[in-house]
Amino acid sequence: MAAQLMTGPRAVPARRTTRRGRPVGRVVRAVVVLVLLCLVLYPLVWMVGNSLKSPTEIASNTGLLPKHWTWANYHDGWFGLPSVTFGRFFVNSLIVSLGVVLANMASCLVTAYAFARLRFPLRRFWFAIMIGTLLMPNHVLVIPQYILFRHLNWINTPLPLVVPKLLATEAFFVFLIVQFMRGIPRELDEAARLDGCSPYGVFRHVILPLVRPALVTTAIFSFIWTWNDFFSQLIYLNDLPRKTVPVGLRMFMDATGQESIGPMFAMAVVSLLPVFFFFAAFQRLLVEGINTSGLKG
Amino acid sequence: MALTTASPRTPGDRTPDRAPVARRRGRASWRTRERSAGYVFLTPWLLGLLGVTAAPTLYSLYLSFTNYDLFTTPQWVGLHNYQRMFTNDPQFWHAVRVTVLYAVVAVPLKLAAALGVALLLARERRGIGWVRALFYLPSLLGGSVALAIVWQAMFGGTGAVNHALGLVGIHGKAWVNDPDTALGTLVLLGAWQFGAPMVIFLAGLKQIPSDLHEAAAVDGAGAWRSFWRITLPMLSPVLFFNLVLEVIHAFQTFTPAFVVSNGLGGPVDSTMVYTLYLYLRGWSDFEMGYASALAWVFLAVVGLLTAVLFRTGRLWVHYSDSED
Amino acid sequence: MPTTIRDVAKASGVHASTVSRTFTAPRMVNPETRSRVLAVAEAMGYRPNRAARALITGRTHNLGLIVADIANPFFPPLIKASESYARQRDYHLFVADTDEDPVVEEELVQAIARQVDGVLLCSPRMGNGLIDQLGRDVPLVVINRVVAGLPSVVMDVGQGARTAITHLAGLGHERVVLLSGPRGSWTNREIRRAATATARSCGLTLTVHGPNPPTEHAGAAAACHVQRSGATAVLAYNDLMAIGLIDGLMRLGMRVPRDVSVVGIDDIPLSRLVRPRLTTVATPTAAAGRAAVDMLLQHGADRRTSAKVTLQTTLVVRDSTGPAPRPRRAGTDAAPRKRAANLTSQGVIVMPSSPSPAVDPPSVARRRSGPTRRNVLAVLGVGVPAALAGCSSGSGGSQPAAQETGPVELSVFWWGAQARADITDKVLKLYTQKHPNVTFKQQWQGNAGYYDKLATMAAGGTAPDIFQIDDNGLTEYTTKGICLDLKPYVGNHIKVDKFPASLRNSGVVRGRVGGIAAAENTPAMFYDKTAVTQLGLPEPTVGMTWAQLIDWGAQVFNESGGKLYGTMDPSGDYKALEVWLRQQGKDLYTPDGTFGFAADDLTGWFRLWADAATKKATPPADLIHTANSGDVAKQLIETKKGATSFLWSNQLSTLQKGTDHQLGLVTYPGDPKGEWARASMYWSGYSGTKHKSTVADVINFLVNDPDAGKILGAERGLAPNLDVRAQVAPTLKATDQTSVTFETGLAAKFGPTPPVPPKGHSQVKTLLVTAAESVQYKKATPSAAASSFLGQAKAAIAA
Repeated sequence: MAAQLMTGPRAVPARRTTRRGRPVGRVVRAVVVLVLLCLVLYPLVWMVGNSLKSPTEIASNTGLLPKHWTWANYHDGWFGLPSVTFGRFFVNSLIVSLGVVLANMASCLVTAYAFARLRFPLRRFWFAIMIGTLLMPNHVLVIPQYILFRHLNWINTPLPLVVPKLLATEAFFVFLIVQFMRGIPRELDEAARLDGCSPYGVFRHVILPLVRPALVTTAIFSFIWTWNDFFSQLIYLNDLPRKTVPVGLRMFMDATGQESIGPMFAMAVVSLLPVFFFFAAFQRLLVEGINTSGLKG
Repeated sequence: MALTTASPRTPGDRTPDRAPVARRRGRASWRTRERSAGYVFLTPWLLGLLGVTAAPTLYSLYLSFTNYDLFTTPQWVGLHNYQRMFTNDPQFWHAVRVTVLYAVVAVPLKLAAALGVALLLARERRGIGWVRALFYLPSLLGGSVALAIVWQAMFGGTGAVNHALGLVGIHGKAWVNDPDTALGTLVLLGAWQFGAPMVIFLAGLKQIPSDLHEAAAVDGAGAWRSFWRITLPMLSPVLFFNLVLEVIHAFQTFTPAFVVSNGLGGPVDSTMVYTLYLYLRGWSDFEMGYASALAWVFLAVVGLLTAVLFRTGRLWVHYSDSED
Repeated sequence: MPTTIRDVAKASGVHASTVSRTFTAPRMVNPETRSRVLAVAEAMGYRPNRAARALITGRTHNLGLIVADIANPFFPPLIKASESYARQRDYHLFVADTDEDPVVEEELVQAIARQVDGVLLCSPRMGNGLIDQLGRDVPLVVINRVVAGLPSVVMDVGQGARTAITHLAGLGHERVVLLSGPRGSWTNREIRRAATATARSCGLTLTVHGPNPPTEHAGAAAACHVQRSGATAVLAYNDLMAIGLIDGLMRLGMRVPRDVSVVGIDDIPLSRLVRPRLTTVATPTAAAGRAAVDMLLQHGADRRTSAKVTLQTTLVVRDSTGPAPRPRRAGTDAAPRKRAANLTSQGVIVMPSSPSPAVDPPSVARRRSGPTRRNVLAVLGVGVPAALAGCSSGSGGSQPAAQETGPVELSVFWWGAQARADITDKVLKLYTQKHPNVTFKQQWQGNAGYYDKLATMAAGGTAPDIFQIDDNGLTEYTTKGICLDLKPYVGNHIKVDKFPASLRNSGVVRGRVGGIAAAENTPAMFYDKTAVTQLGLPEPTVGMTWAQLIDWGAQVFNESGGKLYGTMDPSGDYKALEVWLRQQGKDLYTPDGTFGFAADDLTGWFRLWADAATKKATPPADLIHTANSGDVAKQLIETKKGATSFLWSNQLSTLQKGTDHQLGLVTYPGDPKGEWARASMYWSGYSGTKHKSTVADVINFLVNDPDAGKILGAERGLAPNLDVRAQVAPTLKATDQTSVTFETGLAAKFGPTPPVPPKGHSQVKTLLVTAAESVQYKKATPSAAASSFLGQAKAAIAA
């Protein structure tokens, strides 16, 4: 049953359709994709191009590619700060992002199981509250939360960034996994139940094995979003050696001259690499994850 | 949630031939255990709600009835903040207009872009993963500081867009610096980062059984007709899901406006979206009480909008029985 | 051999037991017999042995009096009164001091329980349960607390607090702080309850600060909280705290009662001696002592009673209360008088001159109403952010103290880039080298998010000890009490005598020194010397008029064949507007924090530049908008789109780095008297720092030390200390030397320093940009833009 639920049987007809596609249509399609890709990637290529220009060329040459290629910006950006290299920021960002990934996976999973599969008093009420937490503009919550974490002595550590995620505060992922779980046929639960499984047993033996693609989705989105998050990392991390990539990137913006723009572009490009490879490597799982996540209802 | 509960069937409906007695006994004890287990599984979330989310949220509700400048004791002012918002704050209404305009244009555009690209990339073939990843790339950039400069370089007076227009003899203006078009460039920025809905559309497309298309082809339906009659209805739950999330997203949009306008909402307030206005009020002008009131009005309105979306969704979202 | 009871009995002709009764239970003896026995005993020198007598009667004729703090002037009158009253009744009183410590209190009661017939427990800090338990071992009378099952004497401080609050309301005060006393104090609770309820019914806002120890020290320490809270009146838990508070407030540069009115409670003798003499609630302490002794003797045997004596209190109005400063609304003038009318019936004694506290107060009907939800919330609100914002503990007030010698670590926070980080690190290391006990924890980041972070830390009570701030935040952070008031240090710890006159007071906001100028700066107009020379046009000069600049700009545009716009349009630049206004004898802001110009003036300003645009002297709106961001890289002289840019004089070297053209700088157009030496940014201390004097010393080092000056160069602007600047100048880069020359040449021409901008200034700045751009983009006429700007900007600075 689990196998049927995955994409296996559907992938076959899909491939058959491809083979039947007319050659002209395929070429047109490929050209369209290529053109679109150029349009979409142009700004990014421009950015990469600028990261390879010298400071004076950035000012004078607004074109896509540099006339004189130089890697100096990458060197200057990476070693731009005397006490820490940009590598330190990468390590910090990795710690925070991976921490959030694990925390979100664990906590949102159990929460989603309760909402999706178990009937208990006030379930709809709590669910509405959870959706409501998606809507609150974050800026007004920062100060009270900061005061809270200050009381716990967590300022200047990654704890305020990670521990709340252990408590399933990311409603988006709870919602996502709930949607997925609702796609898992209830007969599976029913069967396990008749075999004498408790709700915990059902979770352990039925849901957990089937929910893996949704967890991958959660992991990838968690990673990307945390990697890019600026405001909370700015607020909670004080010391230079504890700062993360998004905060580190902003440090280039104050150098009020042309010469810092090149290193800033260079580090922006470098900071994209981990997420890009993370995404490229897991995109198959990501698509499959959502594929089976029962969004269809 | 309505996405999947539209056809609620209890397991009992499906298995009428099971022994009723045994089932009833099993269910009784299961029910009680389910109840306690529900709260056991919910414990982390409840703790998070009480510890991290609820207190600050309720505190902000309290603050919305006060004058609070971040540093001194909040002073109770009753409904004054709300009254001021609706009767005496032209900038508030301006921000509402800008945000609604942004959402109305950006949501369809982004969804169209995401759906279009997803349709193009739906078929599995070698290397398609990398192509998808490349299309996802702009979304990875998030709210990076580099964006401000990149967007200036694309849509500035001497930007790439005007270069391209110059080739066809059009003399374009400084789009990103013009109060009439600056918001438009932000809409494009939002649409440009269409990665997340694209991925979700891809998933939805892969889920449509291909025999439906085959049957349509046999009946002589063209690609266009097949799209409207089969793909779109089958995709409607996913479309709906993306719609809901993107609407919420669009109303909450902050980072693009903040980054591109240097945090000021210019030129001439043309990119002063609601959350940016809220942020400036709270953090630059030290009016956190007023900002909290803005947040709660936002919560109420977008919450209502979401509820309406769920309601109307029932009219056009086609739910198939997915539990086959 | 001493006289025994038998000798006395024999001599007076009575039985020994009668003698004994004469001493132990005089009332049971016939008065005639009693006086005879006493006379004989006196003559024979007989004294009953109390210890021995106690062995037989179980009574010692000793009483214990336990007070929380014998040094607190509240207690001596009570001790004296109870002592003399007890003696009249043939009892001796032992006094013990608990030093406000509930544990000591319990130990003391237990220790003396065997040696006395009863204990007067005055202002206990123990819990009721414990008192009740102790009351089972020894007869207890509690003073200043009501404990069920025990006799008590209380002074009606609740009524006193009510009268005091009504008095303040009558003077027009709207925001009152209650300086709360020690945790566990019954009196404190009563005061708070009554004050909160009364504040509500009088319609004023009361916030509670505390709990505090009931000392003048705690009062002084609360001064900065009071200042920050914006309250205009304070009711203190006792006179000591009130006196300490007055002292603390005065050190912060505030006057009592002109800025803040203070009311104490107790009417200790000192309250008449301090200046201003303290308005206070007189508590009948002597009467309380007597009543307590009475009760103890009466109820000694009958332990379980809830008998309670309540003594009335009186408000004694002296000099420390006065009308509320600057009534906000027009109507408030009438209101105080109306409220004052109510006072006569509430036990107020107004003492215009020499005091003699009246003791017989008219009784006041007790009105009790519980705290409303609003008050509860207000109290809760104090609990979270304000309390965290944290006044300094310890050295109280901001008295300059001797230099600290123990290890000190200070956190320092600034915005900037790598170059600034390098020199700041170097200069702080130099300080550590000179003062090895002081080390620094440096935090720095880019401009982006600096104020967000600072605001969060300040709201969370973790602001750095020293931080960099500029005009965007100085007023707000100083008036909200985040910035340490450096006034007490200026002149001794921090020298400013070598500063140019206008820098000396540049960080002063409403009487407080919120920051010390870190560097000097002047707005300057930069021009592209190379381009101008190539076009064969004259360079701009100091003192050229605005009209001349615009004509010159039009020439540049024409001569360059439309390739180069003549001048940036600075109509959205508040600096330019301010200079322009000053040249016409007006001001951007008046000293009382409103606008010093009218809509017509602003319309004229916008029209000036709208005309310039039609002459093509200025570039199109989108180029102006880009440059308005202030980013160096986007300035017209950097992008070579225009011939001038309006920035700060110290930015020359950064600007020069970004272009291969030679740049020049002059003042903003018009008479240079419109300009003045300004602080580019300030160094501020955090009011909650534990190391105030060290903070002051470090700031002094940063601005005055020649070695520090050499390291800092002109990165933040020119050194504020003129001697240092002169020493440093030769070591600077050529471009920075140009800035110094420019600045020095101008010094004589500078006009007076305008008042510090009001809060809301940073909002005004962005509103001006928006208004100016709406004219440039032709979205509004000059007059419409001016009036819409004034509408919003007035609200911004009034809020």
